[in-house]
Amino acid sequence: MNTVSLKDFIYLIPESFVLCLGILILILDLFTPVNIRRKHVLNISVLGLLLSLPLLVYAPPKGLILGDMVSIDTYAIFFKCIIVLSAVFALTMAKFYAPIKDEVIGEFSALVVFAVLGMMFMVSSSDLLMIFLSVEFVSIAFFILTGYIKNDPKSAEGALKYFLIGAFSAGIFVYGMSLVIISTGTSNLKAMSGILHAPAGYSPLFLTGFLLMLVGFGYKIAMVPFHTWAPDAYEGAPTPVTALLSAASKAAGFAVLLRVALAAVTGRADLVLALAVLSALTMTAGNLMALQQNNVKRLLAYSGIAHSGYILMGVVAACSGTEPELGITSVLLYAFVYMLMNIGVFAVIIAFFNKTGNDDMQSYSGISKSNPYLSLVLVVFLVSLAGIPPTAGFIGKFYVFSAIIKAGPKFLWLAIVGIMNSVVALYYYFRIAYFVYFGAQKDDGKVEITAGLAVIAGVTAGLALLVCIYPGPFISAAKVSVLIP
Amino acid sequence: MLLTLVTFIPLIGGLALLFVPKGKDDIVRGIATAAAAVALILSVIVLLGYDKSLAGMQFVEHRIWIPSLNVTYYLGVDGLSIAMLVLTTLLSLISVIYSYNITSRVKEYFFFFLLLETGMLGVFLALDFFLFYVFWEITLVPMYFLIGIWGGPRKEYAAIKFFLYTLFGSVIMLLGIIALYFASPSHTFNMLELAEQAPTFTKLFQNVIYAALFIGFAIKVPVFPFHTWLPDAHVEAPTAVSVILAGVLLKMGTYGMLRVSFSILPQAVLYFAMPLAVLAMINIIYGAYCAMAQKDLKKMIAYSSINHMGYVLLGMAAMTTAGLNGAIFQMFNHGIITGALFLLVGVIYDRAHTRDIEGFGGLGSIMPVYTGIMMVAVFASLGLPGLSGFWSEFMCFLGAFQVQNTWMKIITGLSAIGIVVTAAYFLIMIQKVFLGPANEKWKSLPEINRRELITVVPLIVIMVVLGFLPRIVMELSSKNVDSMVKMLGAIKP
Repeated sequence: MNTVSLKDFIYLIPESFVLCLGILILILDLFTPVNIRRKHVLNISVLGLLLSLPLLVYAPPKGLILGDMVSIDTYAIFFKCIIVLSAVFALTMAKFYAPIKDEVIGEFSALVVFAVLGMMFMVSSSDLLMIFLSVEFVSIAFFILTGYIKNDPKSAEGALKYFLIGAFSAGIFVYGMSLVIISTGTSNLKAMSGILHAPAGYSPLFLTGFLLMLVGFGYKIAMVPFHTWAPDAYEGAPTPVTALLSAASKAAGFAVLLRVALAAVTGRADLVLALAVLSALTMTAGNLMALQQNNVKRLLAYSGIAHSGYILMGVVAACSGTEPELGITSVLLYAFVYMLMNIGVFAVIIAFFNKTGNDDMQSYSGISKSNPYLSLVLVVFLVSLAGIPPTAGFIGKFYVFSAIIKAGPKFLWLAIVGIMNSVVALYYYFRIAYFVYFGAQKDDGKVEITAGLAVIAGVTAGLALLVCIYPGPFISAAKVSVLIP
Repeated sequence: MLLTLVTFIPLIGGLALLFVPKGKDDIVRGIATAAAAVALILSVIVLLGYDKSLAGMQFVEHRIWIPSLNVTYYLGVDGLSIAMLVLTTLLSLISVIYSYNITSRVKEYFFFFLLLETGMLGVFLALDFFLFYVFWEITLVPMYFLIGIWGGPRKEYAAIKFFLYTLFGSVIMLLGIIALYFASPSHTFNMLELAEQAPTFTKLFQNVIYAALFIGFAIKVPVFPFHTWLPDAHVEAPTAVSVILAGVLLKMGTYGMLRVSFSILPQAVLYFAMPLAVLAMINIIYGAYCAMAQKDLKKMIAYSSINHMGYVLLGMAAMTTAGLNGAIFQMFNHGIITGALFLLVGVIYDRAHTRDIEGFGGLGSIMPVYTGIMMVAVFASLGLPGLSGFWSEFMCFLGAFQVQNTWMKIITGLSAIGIVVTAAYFLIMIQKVFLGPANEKWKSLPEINRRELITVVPLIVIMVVLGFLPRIVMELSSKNVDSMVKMLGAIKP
């Protein structure tokens, strides 16, 4: 085991930078007059986060540091880029999202930056203790962010549910973790993997502990049956936070889950099967419940649950055999494309919200007649979410299904469940398109789309198409980021 | 470059017209027509340059697309696809011209239409399975909007039903494609390479993959019992879209079977030949009787498509030279004839705002030109000698009857019932709509106008010309069919 040395902090420059940024924003917030806060404080946070991207990309991956607690590998860097990018998009959206008032926008940005910091540590954690600390760090930031619109009861309700279920699952997670540590004698993933793969490595105590830990992960990635917070939190939270929750928080959750699963699940047929069953349950339940929704944010929450199920297929594929590369690549790619399309769709939703004042599908009735371009962009995202080419969603889906089919005939059933689910999903995604395009026009008011939102929607839509039309670079980026277990 | 141009010119036109300022609908129509016309001209250039004496791929374009998956951008034409290429560009141009009568949301309409054309062309030209699938799915989204926005009274229902049905088929196909990819020794999506590697696939594997792909293709054709989306979609779609739907989209299914199943999964094709023949028979007879039962003119034509696609399936199930040539020819002919029939139904619907067969009468004296054209199209459809439909239907039956198998002969014999019923329902329709005393209510119906004539007459000319010179189209596919029959014959036990 490496010992902790001060030199290790060199490899944490991006994290340190983001930490300083958060503190800077808090200080700036104190000294900036309210009327220019929205403009300046937000811009500085966005700019700062953007600056951390080159730091991330160009810093050489080092491997395990800080006494094997943190792993600076390409796998983590890939997820960190997803997280930072989604935070950049979310903060830009927040600028144009009226319910977040000028007075609180400074704290809001600081909280987002701190959440990003937590998530960056989350995806790098290679020790159960570190995982727990960073997950809690992130959760606390998100509890507050979710309830940010204080006078909106829905926001408060969402935050409270998120918090209560989060607290419970954290408790169960720690309990499971303690069992795992007792049974293996270590909290370090690498050491654990070695112990588990020795003969008689899996004790009943470990299995119990691992399943309990799965509760904690399940909560983070909105896996059925630990998903119940998601619809309320997504609906109640300010839309930029919803976007961040769905894109970054979920990606981070999957990064940790996959890292742990590769160490603890690989080669254990029963645990892999458990994950496969959870995957099937998650996508089916998510899709079936999404069918009933009229609120678009709620619908996207359920659709997000279904997408978690698809990504879990990739996790299953990664853990099921001796060749995890394709499975891991599929998880990485899916997390990326899911971030793209979700951010984009939320940007359009904010633009529509600013016009209609609510997020119900019916209020979008006939909106395409006066807003043909914005509606077309929305269609791109819907098509992508449904996994139909020529969009990023298709590439993600293709990789996940490839991975599961490559895993062999024993998971063919899961592939078929997944395929059936993607047909169901089409129906509710295109219910949104139904109202936007086929509904009777209410008034011919044009949606005033601000430049910032237009840029987000345009960039993400362009990328969503590019990932399918010219996928080479994105796939290679994911491939070099594959975690070597 | 030529094939890439043909494929993407419509899309470029579609993107270009998005930039036309609001209210300039005529410019939009002009751009759309120009794009479709250029595509047609380019496809005719391909046709003229196509060497019929070769069985291999021509005008090949092969570039790396996604290296890590071994996916290539691979286009080419051969005898299976050349007729479909020209059919697609021709019907697209005709449909664009017919669509001048669309007055609401013109820009979006033509954008979706041209996007659809690119998707269809890509399906017929792609030789890489991944690329094929991408184009295959690209056709879904524009079709959904074309039916859903500009369609008839139950358009939303028809649109989503079409979308869900076909997506269901294509995602199952996707699983099959991925499985083929991993099973092939060289991990490839290249269809020709996969065909060469066909002997390495086990029988069971071939059968499973065949079944998965078949669901995707059969829904498109549509083969009974996957046909229920078709009457809804055809009836609710606007006229020009019905033309494309019946004329081109259905062919994607049978083309896919020929291109993929017949060349890559020959063992399974032999194994499933008899079931396919039975399904073909059901399509023929059931489709014909359903058409006979319809009161709605458009619905009748829609069901007649099920019936006519049955001939294609029968010819394919025969796996003889005559049968396969007939099937490909019938695909082309059905596109031309049914396309014309849908246009003609559109003409009468635009005037009378009804399609009730019982409600007309004596239109022959009111609209003589229209009636004449309709008669030709109907006779071509029911297979009257001297018109194109006769040859292809004849060859499908001939090919099926040549098979040395008693059951096949019985199936072919029974299928002949379909021809009789087809003749019956078309003649009954003619009698009710065009003959008899003129219905007072329709005395003032105007005659077919110039725009409509421009769209229909070329199709009528093709029917007549091919009625006398069927070899123009038949020659195109004969070399490929020969090699396919030889290949299938070689593995026969």
